[in-house]
Amino acid sequence: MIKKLIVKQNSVLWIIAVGIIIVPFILPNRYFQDIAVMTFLWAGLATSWNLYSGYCNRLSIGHAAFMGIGAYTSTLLYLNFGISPWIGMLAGGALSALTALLIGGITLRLKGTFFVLSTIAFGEILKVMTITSTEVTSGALGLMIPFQPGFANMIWTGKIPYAILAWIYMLVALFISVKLEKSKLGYSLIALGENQEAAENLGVNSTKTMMTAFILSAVLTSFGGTIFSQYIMFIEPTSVMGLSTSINFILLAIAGGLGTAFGPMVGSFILTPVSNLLRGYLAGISGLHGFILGMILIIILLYRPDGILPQLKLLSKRILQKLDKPKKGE
Amino acid sequence: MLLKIESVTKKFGGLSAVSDVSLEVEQGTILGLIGPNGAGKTTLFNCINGTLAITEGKIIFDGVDISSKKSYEIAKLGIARSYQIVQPFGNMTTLQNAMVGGFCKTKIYKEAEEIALRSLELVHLDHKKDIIAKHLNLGERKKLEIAKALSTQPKLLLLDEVMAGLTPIEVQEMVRIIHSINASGVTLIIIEHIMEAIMSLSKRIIVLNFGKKIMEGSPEDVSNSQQVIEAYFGVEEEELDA
Ligand SMILES: Nc1ncnc2c1ncn2[C@@H]1O[C@H](COP(=O)(O)OP(=O)(O)O)[C@@H](O)[C@H]1O
Ligand SMILES: [Mg+2]
Repeated sequence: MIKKLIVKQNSVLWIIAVGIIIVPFILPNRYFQDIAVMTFLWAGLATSWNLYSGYCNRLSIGHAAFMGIGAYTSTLLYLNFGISPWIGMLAGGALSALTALLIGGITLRLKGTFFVLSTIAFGEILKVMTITSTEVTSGALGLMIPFQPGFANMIWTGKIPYAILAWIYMLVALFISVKLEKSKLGYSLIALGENQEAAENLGVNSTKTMMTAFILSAVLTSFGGTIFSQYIMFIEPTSVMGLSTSINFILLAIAGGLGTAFGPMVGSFILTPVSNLLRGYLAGISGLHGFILGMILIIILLYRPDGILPQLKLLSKRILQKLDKPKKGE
Repeated sequence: MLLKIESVTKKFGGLSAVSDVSLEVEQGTILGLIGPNGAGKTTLFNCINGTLAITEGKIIFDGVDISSKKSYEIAKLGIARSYQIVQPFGNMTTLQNAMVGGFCKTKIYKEAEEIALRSLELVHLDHKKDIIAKHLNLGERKKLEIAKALSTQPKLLLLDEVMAGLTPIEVQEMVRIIHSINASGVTLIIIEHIMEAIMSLSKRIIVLNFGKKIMEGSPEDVSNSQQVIEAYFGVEEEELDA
């Protein structure tokens, strides 16, 4: 009985993930709708990041580089050749996969702090390259996407189509995560994240496992980059490739629950609106919203180091067990 | 011969932890491996299953030269091992731990789950399948080590001191478990300090000391051998009761 209900927890999370799309439709204005779009988009990005780093317990802190590759590839193809961002998104994904293969080949074999540092270096190098290749990318000035609404251009007048697009993106990332958790790849990834040697002793090919997950994560992150650039219609290296963007993926995932399919989504559903609202209401005092957000994160991490989602699951399990006991007596 | 080790040496810097060791294991048997602490028993296991690269020599398993293969390749060929110092995946459940091994020979979730459940039954741990591994006690962790290894469906299983630290009753249970694993067709090499247990399991015992094979024979031969008694009493007293 309890077990059945615990299994249902995932169904509850799926219902929330799917049902949340009602929210942007009932929000009163564009300001709040914008927050909804960003919440879904960040949920998708953090979920994509989590696919490698969360499950395998190895923090890739340069992951925004893949978001940047997605954003710049589709934008450059669109601006220079008029290629639809839908196709640009796939091209960006392919380029990210290739980059992940090359970078992963070098960095994935590194352990602990060395891996983390190497990912920072990768992210920063790519950012600097983007800034200095001014002829192609117009450097730090960034690229503006002209407002030409149309489905083929992935540009719309209202916020709702973007909300739907970001929501679908989030669902795809969630679906892949849930599938991963029930697959050989997922089991191998989690095991080697806990103890690489013990996992290899059980037949886990670490290199192949990590590489597959890293590429999957990079491609999905890259897709988010294209959606982001089409939504904001302006990209510059620091916003799509900067360290603070990578750190945002990580914070959302850690706050919600690292290495859980729905954790990053829960993290984004709570923190992205809070962060945006704080920024809006506390705009008078510069830096205050960042301070309060930082405090919230510290409190979460101090008291709930596993993240919010595992705690919610534990709580609901306890409640279910309490409800279950009297029934057994009947 | 299922396993043939030919003059294997493993050096750590200047120290030869395993020195010119040769041995053979026949299909279906249980070979006992004993020797004082630091004799090189665990290191020999690490060499057989590819965790450590051997310095010299050759290891043939089931007709294949595995001397320079990686540990995950060797696992796929059919050698599994348990760790002396247990290494559970602490945040996974007991069943999930075993399923990591279960995926060694299949990609299908249901099959991996069935294989893992069978291994857990074999070691009497199936009733704990949904417990997070870090909450298991030592006896259960030792069993989980075996279940993980068994889930890879090995032809040869290397057990490294799975009885150390167990109560006498748990030791008896473990002896029965090892017998039933062997009866299911798995060949074993077991490292053990508890002589009674090893004698009731193996017909053939190899003694290591300072990395060298000093004796091979039946349990009776070994326990009566002056050389073996010296090996044990020649070293520090405390190492005996480990
Ligand atoms: N990874 C290693 N690096 C250096 N020395 C090691 C390593 N592993 C084992 N040794 C040394 O090799 C010798 C044999 O150790 P071990 O194989 O663990 O012995 P046993 O299992 O018989 O007690 C010991 O002297 C030990 O200190
Ligand atoms: Mg040992």
